[in-house]
Amino acid sequence: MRKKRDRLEVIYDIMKIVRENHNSIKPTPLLRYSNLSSQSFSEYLNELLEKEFVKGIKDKKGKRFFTLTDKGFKFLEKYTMIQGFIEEFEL
Amino acid sequence: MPRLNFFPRGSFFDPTRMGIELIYLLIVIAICLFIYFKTKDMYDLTKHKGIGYFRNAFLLFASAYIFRFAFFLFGNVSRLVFDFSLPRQFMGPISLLFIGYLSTLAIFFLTMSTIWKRFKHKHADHLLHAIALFISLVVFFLHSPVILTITQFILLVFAIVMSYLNSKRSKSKKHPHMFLVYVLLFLFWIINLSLLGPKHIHRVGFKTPVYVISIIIFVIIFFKVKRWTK
Repeated sequence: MRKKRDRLEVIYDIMKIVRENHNSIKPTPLLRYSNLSSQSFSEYLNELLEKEFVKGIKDKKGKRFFTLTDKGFKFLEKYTMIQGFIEEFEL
Repeated sequence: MPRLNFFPRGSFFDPTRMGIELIYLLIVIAICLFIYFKTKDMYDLTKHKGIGYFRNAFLLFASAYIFRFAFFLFGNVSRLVFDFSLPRQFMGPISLLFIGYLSTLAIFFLTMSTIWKRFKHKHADHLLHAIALFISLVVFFLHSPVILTITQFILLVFAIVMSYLNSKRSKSKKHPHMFLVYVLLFLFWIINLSLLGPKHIHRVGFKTPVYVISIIIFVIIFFKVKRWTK
């Protein structure tokens, strides 16, 4: 059985999904791929929006998409280091 | 009322000792501040509580070492420098108040950095601040570094038990050596504290190895942090 993901892993997974979808994804597929309940998903998404890791944009038809910000890309780049640091010091 | 003889007699300015203390202080502070600032980016990105406790612990250690040096300074060179302007007998206890508060909190925070997931309480931080303040006030009013040493030794035992239980529960055998590094860090801080006590253990022959080992412990942590914060 796969172990429960911690907060940071979930954040990483969501952002990775956005990046892998050409940095533009609608809320419904993002929810589906992230493997979370809709309640947890909206909590995480709000956190990502608050932290300015992702931003919501609307196309000409008024459809909502999510894209990564520069800060979000920076987080993805540094994630391996951060995870390594957390494991090294058992934080 | 007899005058408080907080510092032992015969503590005159010794340039060699002063140099050793100053170099030791600068190395420890530089390492602690390096750890604090190098992990800033990581903390800003994640707001991870464990990282927060970890970096704050080193900032507190740096501050505690500054006050430890101040305590040494007031006890050794203040006769030459401060006698005319400062009530010297009060400066030592005031330094001790800060040493007690900052170092107790540093020990708490470093312990919390590893156990925070199992110790989630709304007022946990307030409680830690309150305990640290209580201990430092007791030490301040009793004018005794020895009491601080004993109290922190009890905290060390508590920290060891908590960290041991945590590592046992987490079943992670990946980095068991960190537990040992933390224990040594706390232990050598306490030995550092005990050096503020009675004059008979102030011999350079005893102090220098303690300082060298303390620096080695900090350097080990420094390199581990450096590895992940390039």
